[in-house]
Amino acid sequence: MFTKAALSSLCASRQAPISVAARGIANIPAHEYHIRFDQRVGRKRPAQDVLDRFKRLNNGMWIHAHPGRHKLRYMKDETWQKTSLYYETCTKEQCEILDKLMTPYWLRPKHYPNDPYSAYHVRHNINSPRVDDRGNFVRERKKVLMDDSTSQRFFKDC
Amino acid sequence: MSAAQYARLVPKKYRSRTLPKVDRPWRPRVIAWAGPAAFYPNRFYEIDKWYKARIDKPEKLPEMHIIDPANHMKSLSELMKNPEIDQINIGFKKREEVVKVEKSAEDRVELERKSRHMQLKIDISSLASENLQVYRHFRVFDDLFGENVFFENVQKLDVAFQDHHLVHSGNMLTAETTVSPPEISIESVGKGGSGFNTILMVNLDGNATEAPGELIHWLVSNIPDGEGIQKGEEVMKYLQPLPFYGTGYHRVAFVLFRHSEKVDFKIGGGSSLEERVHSISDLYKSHESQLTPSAIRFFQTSYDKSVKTALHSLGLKSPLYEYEYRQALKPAQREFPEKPQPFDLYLDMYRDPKEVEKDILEKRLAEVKLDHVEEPEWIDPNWVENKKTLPAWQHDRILERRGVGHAKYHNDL
Repeated sequence: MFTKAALSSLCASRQAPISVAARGIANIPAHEYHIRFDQRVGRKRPAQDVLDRFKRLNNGMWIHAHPGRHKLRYMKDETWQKTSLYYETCTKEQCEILDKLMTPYWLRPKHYPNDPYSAYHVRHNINSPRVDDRGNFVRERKKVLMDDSTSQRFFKDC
Repeated sequence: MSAAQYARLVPKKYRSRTLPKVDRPWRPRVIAWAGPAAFYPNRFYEIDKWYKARIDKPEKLPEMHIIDPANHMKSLSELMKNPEIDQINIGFKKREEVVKVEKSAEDRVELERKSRHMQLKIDISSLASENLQVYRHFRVFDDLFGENVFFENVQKLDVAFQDHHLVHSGNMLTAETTVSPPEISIESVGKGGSGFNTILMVNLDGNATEAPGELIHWLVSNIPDGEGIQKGEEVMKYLQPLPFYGTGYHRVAFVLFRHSEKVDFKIGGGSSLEERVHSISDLYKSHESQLTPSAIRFFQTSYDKSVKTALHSLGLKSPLYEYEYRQALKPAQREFPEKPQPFDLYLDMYRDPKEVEKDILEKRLAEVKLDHVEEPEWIDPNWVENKKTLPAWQHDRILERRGVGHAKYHNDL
Protein backbone atom coordinates (compact mmCIF):
# COMPACT_ATOMS: atom_id res chain seq x y z
CA MET A 1 0.00 0.00 0.00
CA PHE A 2 2.68 2.41 -1.00
CA THR A 3 1.34 5.55 -2.54
CA LYS A 4 3.27 8.60 -3.51
CA ALA A 5 0.84 10.91 -1.80
CA ALA A 6 1.10 9.08 1.49
CA LEU A 7 4.87 9.26 1.54
CA SER A 8 4.93 12.92 0.61
CA SER A 9 2.48 13.70 3.40
CA LEU A 10 4.69 11.81 5.80
CA CYS A 11 7.73 13.79 4.86
CA ALA A 12 5.91 17.07 4.52
CA SER A 13 6.83 18.24 7.98
CA ARG A 14 10.49 17.83 7.15
CA GLN A 15 12.23 20.44 5.08
CA ALA A 16 13.26 19.05 1.73
CA PRO A 17 17.05 18.95 2.04
CA ILE A 18 17.78 19.95 -1.56
CA SER A 19 16.05 23.30 -1.29
CA VAL A 20 18.36 24.47 1.53
CA ALA A 21 21.54 22.83 0.34
CA ALA A 22 23.54 26.04 0.57
CA ARG A 23 23.66 27.46 4.07
CA GLY A 24 24.11 31.16 3.98
CA ILE A 25 22.84 34.41 5.26
CA ALA A 26 20.29 34.51 2.43
CA ASN A 27 18.65 31.42 3.77
CA ILE A 28 18.05 32.96 7.16
CA PRO A 29 15.00 35.19 6.85
CA ALA A 30 15.30 38.71 8.12
CA HIS A 31 12.93 38.25 11.03
CA GLU A 32 15.20 35.59 12.52
CA TYR A 33 18.29 37.67 13.06
CA HIS A 34 16.50 40.56 14.65
CA ILE A 35 15.27 40.91 18.13
CA ARG A 36 11.52 40.61 17.69
CA PHE A 37 8.81 42.12 19.77
CA ASP A 38 5.47 40.38 20.07
CA GLN A 39 2.60 42.71 19.28
CA ARG A 40 0.15 40.79 21.35
CA VAL A 41 2.28 40.46 24.45
CA GLY A 42 3.97 43.76 23.91
CA ARG A 43 7.48 42.67 24.72
CA LYS A 44 10.53 40.85 23.46
CA ARG A 45 10.19 37.21 22.39
CA PRO A 46 13.11 34.86 22.83
CA ALA A 47 14.50 33.38 19.62
CA GLN A 48 13.07 29.88 19.65
CA ASP A 49 15.80 28.61 17.35
CA VAL A 50 18.48 29.57 19.82
CA LEU A 51 16.62 27.80 22.61
CA ASP A 52 16.38 24.71 20.40
CA ARG A 53 20.04 24.56 19.52
CA PHE A 54 21.94 26.07 22.41
CA LYS A 55 22.13 25.79 26.17
CA ARG A 56 23.09 28.52 28.57
CA LEU A 57 24.98 27.59 31.72
CA ASN A 58 24.32 29.69 34.79
CA ASN A 59 27.75 31.28 34.55
CA GLY A 60 26.88 32.88 31.22
CA MET A 61 28.58 30.37 28.97
CA TRP A 62 26.59 29.13 26.01
CA ILE A 63 27.23 25.65 24.68
CA HIS A 64 26.07 23.92 21.55
CA ALA A 65 26.48 20.65 19.71
CA HIS A 66 29.04 20.44 16.94
CA PRO A 67 27.34 21.51 13.71
CA GLY A 68 27.46 18.95 10.93
CA ARG A 69 28.35 16.04 13.17
CA HIS A 70 25.98 13.72 11.31
CA LYS A 71 27.33 14.53 7.85
CA LEU A 72 29.38 11.87 6.03
CA ARG A 73 30.64 10.40 9.25
CA TYR A 74 31.97 7.29 7.56
CA MET A 75 34.41 9.34 5.50
CA LYS A 76 35.99 11.06 8.46
CA ASP A 77 38.75 9.99 10.78
CA GLU A 78 38.46 8.54 14.25
CA THR A 79 39.51 11.67 16.04
CA TRP A 80 36.74 13.55 14.37
CA GLN A 81 34.25 10.81 15.16
CA LYS A 82 35.04 11.36 18.80
CA THR A 83 35.49 15.11 18.97
CA SER A 84 32.45 15.87 16.85
CA LEU A 85 30.26 14.55 19.65
CA TYR A 86 31.52 17.14 22.10
CA TYR A 87 29.29 19.98 23.21
CA GLU A 88 31.30 23.07 22.44
CA THR A 89 31.68 26.44 24.06
CA CYS A 90 30.86 29.70 22.31
CA THR A 91 33.13 32.69 22.06
CA LYS A 92 32.47 35.79 24.08
CA GLU A 93 30.98 37.64 21.15
CA GLN A 94 28.63 34.79 20.35
CA CYS A 95 27.57 34.57 23.98
CA GLU A 96 26.76 38.25 24.05
CA ILE A 97 24.68 38.01 20.87
CA LEU A 98 22.80 34.99 22.16
CA ASP A 99 22.13 36.77 25.44
CA LYS A 100 20.59 39.63 23.52
CA LEU A 101 18.26 37.25 21.70
CA MET A 102 16.92 36.00 25.04
CA THR A 103 14.47 37.47 27.49
CA PRO A 104 15.51 38.15 31.09
CA TYR A 105 13.79 34.93 32.09
CA TRP A 106 16.30 32.82 30.19
CA LEU A 107 19.23 34.79 31.57
CA ARG A 108 18.25 34.06 35.13
CA PRO A 109 20.20 31.27 36.86
CA LYS A 110 18.19 28.09 36.93
CA HIS A 111 18.45 25.17 39.30
CA TYR A 112 16.87 21.85 38.48
CA PRO A 113 16.82 18.62 40.48
CA ASN A 114 19.30 16.00 39.21
CA ASP A 115 20.74 18.46 36.75
CA PRO A 116 23.59 16.79 34.83
CA TYR A 117 25.04 20.24 34.21
CA SER A 118 25.03 21.17 37.90
CA ALA A 119 28.82 20.89 38.22
CA TYR A 120 29.35 23.30 35.35
CA HIS A 121 27.20 26.19 36.49
CA VAL A 122 30.10 27.77 38.38
CA ARG A 123 33.59 28.59 37.23
CA HIS A 124 36.60 27.74 39.36
CA ASN A 125 40.07 29.28 39.53
CA ILE A 126 39.26 32.12 37.23
CA ASN A 127 40.61 35.60 37.84
CA SER A 128 38.97 37.86 35.32
CA PRO A 129 36.90 40.79 36.66
CA ARG A 130 33.84 39.72 38.60
CA VAL A 131 31.91 42.84 37.73
CA ASP A 132 30.67 44.14 34.40
CA ASP A 133 30.67 47.79 33.28
CA ARG A 134 27.48 48.49 35.22
CA GLY A 135 28.88 47.10 38.44
CA ASN A 136 26.79 43.91 38.41
CA PHE A 137 28.36 40.63 39.33
CA VAL A 138 28.98 38.60 36.19
CA ARG A 139 29.39 35.04 37.37
CA GLU A 140 27.97 35.25 40.86
CA ARG A 141 24.62 35.18 42.52
CA LYS A 142 23.09 38.38 43.79
CA LYS A 143 24.40 39.06 47.25
CA VAL A 144 22.22 38.24 50.20
CA LEU A 145 22.91 39.91 53.51
CA MET A 146 24.90 37.23 55.31
CA ASP A 147 27.89 37.00 57.57
CA ASP A 148 31.18 36.43 55.80
CA SER A 149 32.03 33.02 57.27
CA THR A 150 28.75 31.49 56.12
CA SER A 151 29.11 33.08 52.73
CA GLN A 152 32.66 31.76 52.35
CA ARG A 153 31.62 28.32 53.44
CA PHE A 154 28.53 27.71 51.40
CA PHE A 155 28.58 30.21 48.56
CA LYS A 156 32.25 30.37 47.61
CA ASP A 157 31.79 29.85 43.91
CA CYS A 158 28.20 30.93 43.44
CA MET B 1 28.33 44.89 6.33
CA SER B 2 25.50 43.69 8.45
CA ALA B 3 23.57 40.50 7.93
CA ALA B 4 20.69 42.42 6.45
CA GLN B 5 22.96 44.06 3.89
CA TYR B 6 24.38 40.70 2.87
CA ALA B 7 20.92 39.29 2.49
CA ARG B 8 19.93 42.20 0.20
CA LEU B 9 22.53 41.08 -2.32
CA VAL B 10 20.40 38.01 -3.00
CA PRO B 11 17.23 38.54 -5.03
CA LYS B 12 14.13 38.21 -2.92
CA LYS B 13 12.96 35.31 -5.04
CA TYR B 14 15.83 33.14 -3.84
CA ARG B 15 15.69 34.08 -0.20
CA SER B 16 14.02 31.50 1.94
CA ARG B 17 10.88 32.61 3.69
CA THR B 18 11.36 30.47 6.75
CA LEU B 19 14.36 29.27 8.65
CA PRO B 20 15.29 25.66 8.05
CA LYS B 21 13.85 24.00 11.09
CA VAL B 22 15.54 21.59 13.40
CA ASP B 23 15.02 18.09 12.08
CA ARG B 24 12.05 16.43 13.57
CA PRO B 25 12.24 12.65 13.80
CA TRP B 26 10.43 11.48 10.66
CA ARG B 27 11.83 7.94 10.57
CA PRO B 28 9.50 6.60 13.28
CA ARG B 29 6.53 7.72 11.25
CA VAL B 30 7.83 5.99 8.13
CA ILE B 31 8.46 2.88 10.20
CA ALA B 32 4.94 3.04 11.57
CA TRP B 33 3.63 3.21 8.04
CA ALA B 34 5.96 0.79 6.23
CA GLY B 35 6.82 -1.64 9.01
CA PRO B 36 9.98 -2.22 11.06
CA ALA B 37 12.02 -3.34 8.07
CA ALA B 38 11.74 0.02 6.37
CA PHE B 39 15.29 1.11 7.07
CA TYR B 40 17.02 -2.20 7.59
CA PRO B 41 20.21 -2.36 5.58
CA ASN B 42 20.01 -4.94 2.87
CA ARG B 43 22.28 -7.75 3.82
CA PHE B 44 21.90 -9.78 0.60
CA TYR B 45 24.16 -7.62 -1.50
CA GLU B 46 27.61 -6.34 -0.82
CA ILE B 47 26.73 -2.87 0.23
CA ASP B 48 29.83 -0.89 0.89
CA LYS B 49 32.15 -2.34 -1.69
CA TRP B 50 33.74 1.02 -2.26
CA TYR B 51 34.51 1.48 1.39
CA LYS B 52 35.81 -2.03 1.91
CA ALA B 53 38.30 -1.71 -0.90
CA ARG B 54 39.95 1.14 0.86
CA ILE B 55 40.55 -0.35 4.26
CA ASP B 56 44.29 -0.44 4.75
CA LYS B 57 45.91 -3.56 6.04
CA PRO B 58 47.79 -3.03 9.30
CA GLU B 59 51.32 -2.04 8.43
CA LYS B 60 53.96 -4.35 9.85
CA LEU B 61 57.23 -2.66 10.62
CA PRO B 62 60.41 -4.61 11.30
CA GLU B 63 61.62 -4.42 14.86
CA MET B 64 64.30 -1.89 15.49
CA HIS B 65 67.75 -3.01 16.45
CA ILE B 66 68.57 -0.96 19.48
CA ILE B 67 72.11 0.12 20.11
CA ASP B 68 72.92 1.71 23.41
CA PRO B 69 75.21 4.61 22.45
CA ALA B 70 76.96 4.54 25.81
CA ASN B 71 78.10 0.94 25.43
CA HIS B 72 78.49 0.25 21.75
CA MET B 73 82.21 1.08 21.64
CA LYS B 74 83.04 -1.62 24.17
CA SER B 75 84.05 -5.09 23.11
CA LEU B 76 81.94 -8.09 23.97
CA SER B 77 84.37 -9.39 26.57
CA GLU B 78 84.31 -6.00 28.23
CA LEU B 79 80.53 -5.95 28.22
CA MET B 80 80.27 -9.44 29.66
CA LYS B 81 82.70 -8.72 32.43
CA ASN B 82 80.59 -7.73 35.40
CA PRO B 83 82.56 -5.69 37.86
CA GLU B 84 81.82 -7.39 41.15
CA ILE B 85 82.30 -5.59 44.38
CA ASP B 86 83.48 -7.82 47.16
CA GLN B 87 80.71 -8.50 49.57
CA ILE B 88 81.83 -8.53 53.19
CA ASN B 89 80.57 -11.34 55.34
CA ILE B 90 80.04 -9.96 58.84
CA GLY B 91 78.60 -13.19 60.20
CA PHE B 92 79.72 -16.75 60.63
CA LYS B 93 81.06 -19.18 58.10
CA LYS B 94 78.40 -21.11 56.25
CA ARG B 95 77.47 -24.39 57.83
CA GLU B 96 78.38 -27.52 55.96
CA GLU B 97 75.29 -29.06 54.47
CA VAL B 98 74.48 -32.71 54.68
CA VAL B 99 75.70 -34.37 51.49
CA LYS B 100 72.78 -35.60 49.53
CA VAL B 101 72.61 -39.21 48.41
CA GLU B 102 73.48 -39.70 44.77
CA LYS B 103 70.58 -41.01 42.79
CA SER B 104 71.04 -44.18 40.78
CA ALA B 105 69.99 -44.43 37.14
CA GLU B 106 66.98 -46.52 38.10
CA ASP B 107 65.86 -43.93 40.61
CA ARG B 108 66.11 -41.26 37.98
CA VAL B 109 63.96 -43.26 35.60
CA GLU B 110 61.41 -43.77 38.32
CA LEU B 111 61.39 -40.08 39.22
CA GLU B 112 61.05 -39.13 35.59
CA ARG B 113 58.10 -41.47 35.19
CA LYS B 114 56.43 -40.05 38.29
CA SER B 115 56.84 -36.48 37.19
CA ARG B 116 55.46 -37.33 33.76
CA HIS B 117 52.35 -38.80 35.39
CA MET B 118 51.99 -35.83 37.73
CA GLN B 119 52.61 -38.04 40.74
CA LEU B 120 55.90 -36.60 41.92
CA LYS B 121 55.31 -34.90 45.23
CA ILE B 122 57.84 -32.58 46.80
CA ASP B 123 57.63 -31.61 50.43
CA ILE B 124 58.17 -27.89 50.34
CA SER B 125 58.95 -27.61 54.03
CA SER B 126 61.91 -29.97 53.65
CA LEU B 127 63.51 -27.81 50.96
CA ALA B 128 66.21 -25.38 51.90
CA SER B 129 64.58 -22.04 51.21
CA GLU B 130 67.38 -19.92 52.56
CA ASN B 131 68.12 -17.63 49.71
CA LEU B 132 70.08 -14.50 50.41
CA GLN B 133 69.16 -13.09 47.00
CA VAL B 134 65.74 -12.20 48.42
CA TYR B 135 67.36 -10.14 51.15
CA ARG B 136 69.61 -8.44 48.64
CA HIS B 137 66.65 -7.71 46.42
CA PHE B 138 64.76 -6.05 49.24
CA ARG B 139 67.96 -4.26 50.39
CA VAL B 140 67.54 -5.62 53.88
CA PHE B 141 71.27 -5.93 54.60
CA ASP B 142 72.03 -2.57 52.98
CA ASP B 143 69.47 -0.75 55.07
CA LEU B 144 70.44 -2.51 58.27
CA PHE B 145 74.25 -2.55 58.17
CA GLY B 146 75.29 -0.52 55.14
CA GLU B 147 76.35 -1.30 51.59
CA ASN B 148 78.07 -4.52 50.50
CA VAL B 149 77.54 -6.39 53.71
CA PHE B 150 75.85 -9.71 54.31
CA PHE B 151 75.82 -12.68 56.62
CA GLU B 152 74.73 -16.27 56.39
CA ASN B 153 71.86 -17.88 58.23
CA VAL B 154 73.71 -20.30 60.46
CA GLN B 155 71.32 -20.62 63.37
CA LYS B 156 67.80 -21.91 63.09
CA LEU B 157 65.29 -19.24 64.01
CA ASP B 158 61.54 -19.78 64.00
CA VAL B 159 59.25 -16.80 64.42
CA ALA B 160 55.53 -17.48 64.51
CA PHE B 161 52.75 -14.95 65.05
CA GLN B 162 49.60 -16.38 66.55
CA ASP B 163 51.00 -19.94 66.30
CA HIS B 164 50.74 -20.44 62.56
CA HIS B 165 51.75 -17.19 60.84
CA LEU B 166 55.40 -17.98 60.24
CA VAL B 167 57.96 -15.41 59.22
CA HIS B 168 60.04 -16.55 56.25
CA SER B 169 61.95 -14.29 53.92
CA GLY B 170 59.71 -11.46 52.84
CA ASN B 171 56.26 -13.00 53.14
CA MET B 172 53.23 -10.77 53.72
CA LEU B 173 51.53 -10.69 57.08
CA THR B 174 48.55 -8.54 57.90
CA ALA B 175 49.07 -6.01 60.65
CA GLU B 176 46.27 -7.64 62.60
CA THR B 177 48.25 -10.86 63.10
CA THR B 178 51.18 -8.99 64.62
CA VAL B 179 49.24 -7.41 67.47
CA SER B 180 50.72 -9.71 70.09
CA PRO B 181 54.43 -10.70 70.32
CA PRO B 182 55.42 -13.78 68.33
CA GLU B 183 56.62 -17.13 69.59
CA ILE B 184 60.34 -17.37 68.95
CA SER B 185 62.38 -20.53 69.13
CA ILE B 186 66.14 -20.32 68.75
CA GLU B 187 68.36 -23.27 67.98
CA SER B 188 70.96 -24.06 70.59
CA VAL B 189 74.42 -24.05 69.05
CA GLY B 190 76.73 -23.37 72.01
CA LYS B 191 78.81 -26.15 73.48
CA GLY B 192 77.81 -26.88 77.04
CA GLY B 193 75.20 -24.16 77.19
CA SER B 194 77.64 -21.27 76.83
CA GLY B 195 76.96 -18.07 74.93
CA PHE B 196 74.01 -15.73 74.58
CA ASN B 197 71.51 -14.75 71.92
CA THR B 198 69.95 -11.36 71.28
CA ILE B 199 66.86 -10.96 69.16
CA LEU B 200 66.05 -7.66 67.50
CA MET B 201 62.86 -6.74 65.66
CA VAL B 202 63.23 -3.70 63.40
CA ASN B 203 60.95 -1.90 61.01
CA LEU B 204 63.16 -0.69 58.18
CA ASP B 205 60.53 1.66 56.75
CA GLY B 206 58.76 2.78 59.89
CA ASN B 207 60.80 5.83 60.84
CA ALA B 208 58.51 8.80 60.38
CA THR B 209 60.84 11.27 62.13
CA GLU B 210 63.59 13.38 60.61
CA ALA B 211 66.25 11.58 62.64
CA PRO B 212 68.20 8.90 60.74
CA GLY B 213 67.66 5.34 61.84
CA GLU B 214 65.16 2.54 62.01
CA LEU B 215 62.28 1.85 64.33
CA ILE B 216 63.06 -0.83 66.91
CA HIS B 217 59.96 -2.78 67.84
CA TRP B 218 61.39 -5.32 70.16
CA LEU B 219 64.79 -5.99 71.64
CA VAL B 220 65.45 -8.94 73.94
CA SER B 221 69.09 -9.36 74.84
CA ASN B 222 71.25 -11.84 76.75
CA ILE B 223 69.07 -14.88 76.19
CA PRO B 224 71.10 -17.81 77.52
CA ASP B 225 71.82 -20.43 74.89
CA GLY B 226 69.16 -23.11 74.66
CA GLU B 227 66.70 -21.17 76.80
CA GLY B 228 63.45 -19.46 75.89
CA ILE B 229 63.02 -15.78 75.22
CA GLN B 230 61.57 -15.25 78.70
CA LYS B 231 65.00 -15.75 80.23
CA GLY B 232 66.44 -12.76 78.39
CA GLU B 233 66.37 -9.09 79.34
CA GLU B 234 63.67 -7.17 77.53
CA VAL B 235 65.51 -3.95 76.65
CA MET B 236 62.72 -2.61 74.48
CA LYS B 237 59.15 -3.74 74.97
CA TYR B 238 57.17 -5.22 72.11
CA LEU B 239 55.28 -2.82 69.90
CA GLN B 240 53.33 -4.06 66.94
CA PRO B 241 54.53 -2.85 63.51
CA LEU B 242 52.83 0.41 62.57
CA PRO B 243 52.71 0.83 58.82
CA PHE B 244 50.91 4.15 58.47
CA TYR B 245 48.07 4.59 56.00
CA GLY B 246 49.39 5.24 52.51
CA THR B 247 53.00 4.25 53.17
CA GLY B 248 52.71 0.89 51.43
CA TYR B 249 54.51 -2.22 52.58
CA HIS B 250 56.98 -2.04 55.46
CA ARG B 251 59.86 -4.50 55.82
CA VAL B 252 60.07 -5.81 59.35
CA ALA B 253 63.21 -7.83 60.10
CA PHE B 254 64.12 -10.19 62.94
CA VAL B 255 67.88 -10.26 63.45
CA LEU B 256 69.50 -12.77 65.76
CA PHE B 257 72.86 -11.87 67.26
CA ARG B 258 75.24 -14.28 68.93
CA HIS B 259 77.66 -13.25 71.68
CA SER B 260 79.73 -15.02 74.26
CA GLU B 261 79.43 -12.43 77.06
CA LYS B 262 76.53 -10.36 78.30
CA VAL B 263 76.01 -7.10 76.44
CA ASP B 264 74.58 -3.87 77.76
CA PHE B 265 72.99 -1.97 74.86
CA LYS B 266 72.63 1.32 76.76
CA ILE B 267 69.39 2.17 75.00
CA GLY B 268 66.91 4.13 77.04
CA GLY B 269 63.81 2.11 77.66
CA GLY B 270 61.50 4.86 76.40
CA SER B 271 58.56 3.42 74.57
CA SER B 272 57.46 6.43 72.49
CA LEU B 273 57.95 6.24 68.75
CA GLU B 274 60.70 8.88 68.72
CA GLU B 275 62.69 7.08 71.42
CA ARG B 276 62.53 3.82 69.52
CA VAL B 277 64.34 5.25 66.50
CA HIS B 278 67.97 4.10 66.46
CA SER B 279 70.46 3.57 63.70
CA ILE B 280 71.02 -0.18 63.61
CA SER B 281 74.37 0.11 61.88
CA ASP B 282 75.60 2.50 64.61
CA LEU B 283 74.25 0.23 67.30
CA TYR B 284 76.02 -2.72 65.73
CA LYS B 285 79.21 -0.76 65.22
CA SER B 286 79.42 0.16 68.90
CA HIS B 287 79.14 -3.48 69.95
CA GLU B 288 80.90 -4.98 66.97
CA SER B 289 83.57 -6.76 68.99
CA GLN B 290 81.00 -8.76 70.95
CA LEU B 291 78.05 -9.22 68.60
CA THR B 292 77.92 -11.42 65.53
CA PRO B 293 74.73 -11.71 63.50
CA SER B 294 73.77 -15.31 62.96
CA ALA B 295 70.25 -15.38 61.54
CA ILE B 296 67.74 -13.10 59.88
CA ARG B 297 64.09 -13.30 58.89
CA PHE B 298 61.79 -10.62 57.57
CA PHE B 299 58.19 -10.09 56.60
CA GLN B 300 56.13 -7.29 55.12
CA THR B 301 52.99 -5.60 56.41
CA SER B 302 50.74 -2.82 55.29
CA TYR B 303 48.10 -0.65 56.90
CA ASP B 304 45.22 -2.28 58.65
CA LYS B 305 42.54 -1.17 61.07
CA SER B 306 44.55 -2.61 63.96
CA VAL B 307 47.27 -0.02 63.27
CA LYS B 308 44.78 2.74 63.90
CA THR B 309 43.61 1.26 67.18
CA ALA B 310 47.20 0.69 68.29
CA LEU B 311 48.11 4.31 67.56
CA HIS B 312 45.03 5.54 69.37
CA SER B 313 45.94 3.46 72.39
CA LEU B 314 49.37 5.11 72.38
CA GLY B 315 47.63 8.48 72.49
CA LEU B 316 48.55 9.31 68.89
CA LYS B 317 46.50 10.02 65.81
CA SER B 318 46.73 7.77 62.78
CA PRO B 319 48.50 9.81 60.10
CA LEU B 320 47.33 9.56 56.49
CA TYR B 321 50.08 9.77 53.91
CA GLU B 322 49.25 10.74 50.37
CA TYR B 323 51.32 10.91 47.25
CA GLU B 324 51.59 14.46 46.02
CA TYR B 325 51.31 14.26 42.27
CA ARG B 326 52.76 16.95 40.13
CA GLN B 327 50.16 19.38 38.83
CA ALA B 328 48.95 18.60 35.33
CA LEU B 329 50.32 20.95 32.72
CA LYS B 330 47.42 22.95 31.35
CA PRO B 331 46.87 26.21 29.52
CA ALA B 332 45.74 29.25 31.46
CA GLN B 333 42.00 29.30 31.83
CA ARG B 334 40.04 31.87 29.84
CA GLU B 335 36.59 33.00 30.68
CA PHE B 336 35.56 32.51 27.05
CA PRO B 337 38.01 30.35 25.12
CA GLU B 338 38.74 31.63 21.61
CA LYS B 339 38.35 28.29 19.89
CA PRO B 340 35.38 26.08 20.68
CA GLN B 341 36.29 23.68 23.47
CA PRO B 342 34.40 20.66 24.79
CA PHE B 343 32.70 22.37 27.68
CA ASP B 344 32.75 19.52 30.19
CA LEU B 345 36.41 18.67 29.65
CA TYR B 346 37.42 22.32 29.64
CA LEU B 347 35.64 23.18 32.87
CA ASP B 348 36.70 19.95 34.58
CA MET B 349 40.34 20.68 33.77
CA TYR B 350 40.29 23.69 36.10
CA ARG B 351 38.28 22.12 38.88
CA ASP B 352 40.06 20.76 41.92
CA PRO B 353 40.57 17.04 41.14
CA LYS B 354 39.75 16.21 44.74
CA GLU B 355 36.43 17.97 44.40
CA VAL B 356 35.70 16.03 41.24
CA GLU B 357 36.42 12.78 43.04
CA LYS B 358 34.27 13.84 45.96
CA ASP B 359 31.48 14.54 43.55
CA ILE B 360 31.79 11.03 42.11
CA LEU B 361 31.81 9.51 45.56
CA GLU B 362 28.68 11.38 46.57
CA LYS B 363 26.98 10.14 43.45
CA ARG B 364 28.11 6.63 44.24
CA LEU B 365 26.75 6.79 47.76
CA ALA B 366 23.47 8.08 46.40
CA GLU B 367 22.98 5.19 44.01
CA VAL B 368 24.82 2.27 45.56
CA LYS B 369 24.04 0.78 48.91
CA LEU B 370 26.98 0.56 51.27
CA ASP B 371 26.70 -3.20 51.71
CA HIS B 372 26.69 -3.73 47.99
CA VAL B 373 29.52 -1.87 46.30
CA GLU B 374 30.56 -4.43 43.73
CA GLU B 375 31.26 -3.36 40.23
CA PRO B 376 28.38 -4.42 37.97
CA GLU B 377 29.20 -7.06 35.41
CA TRP B 378 28.07 -4.95 32.46
CA ILE B 379 29.06 -1.32 32.29
CA ASP B 380 25.95 -0.18 30.49
CA PRO B 381 23.27 -2.77 29.86
CA ASN B 382 21.03 -0.05 28.46
CA TRP B 383 23.62 1.04 25.88
CA VAL B 384 21.41 1.26 22.79
CA GLU B 385 18.83 3.40 24.50
CA ASN B 386 21.42 5.60 26.20
CA LYS B 387 23.33 6.08 22.96
CA LYS B 388 20.20 7.49 21.40
CA THR B 389 18.92 9.63 24.23
CA LEU B 390 21.86 10.87 26.24
CA PRO B 391 24.33 13.49 25.06
CA ALA B 392 27.68 11.93 24.26
CA TRP B 393 29.52 13.50 27.22
CA GLN B 394 26.99 12.07 29.65
CA HIS B 395 27.08 8.66 28.04
CA ASP B 396 30.89 8.68 28.27
CA ARG B 397 30.58 9.14 32.02
CA ILE B 398 28.60 5.93 32.25
CA LEU B 399 31.01 4.00 30.06
CA GLU B 400 34.06 5.30 31.87
CA ARG B 401 35.73 2.79 34.15
CA ARG B 402 39.20 4.25 34.09
CA GLY B 403 40.06 7.80 35.11
CA VAL B 404 37.60 9.64 37.27
CA GLY B 405 34.92 6.98 36.90
CA HIS B 406 37.30 4.48 38.46
CA ALA B 407 36.69 6.01 41.89
CA LYS B 408 33.04 5.10 41.71
CA TYR B 409 33.64 1.49 42.58
CA HIS B 410 37.27 1.53 43.75
CA ASN B 411 37.53 3.97 46.61
CA ASP B 412 38.69 3.51 50.16
CA LEU B 413 36.00 4.92 52.34
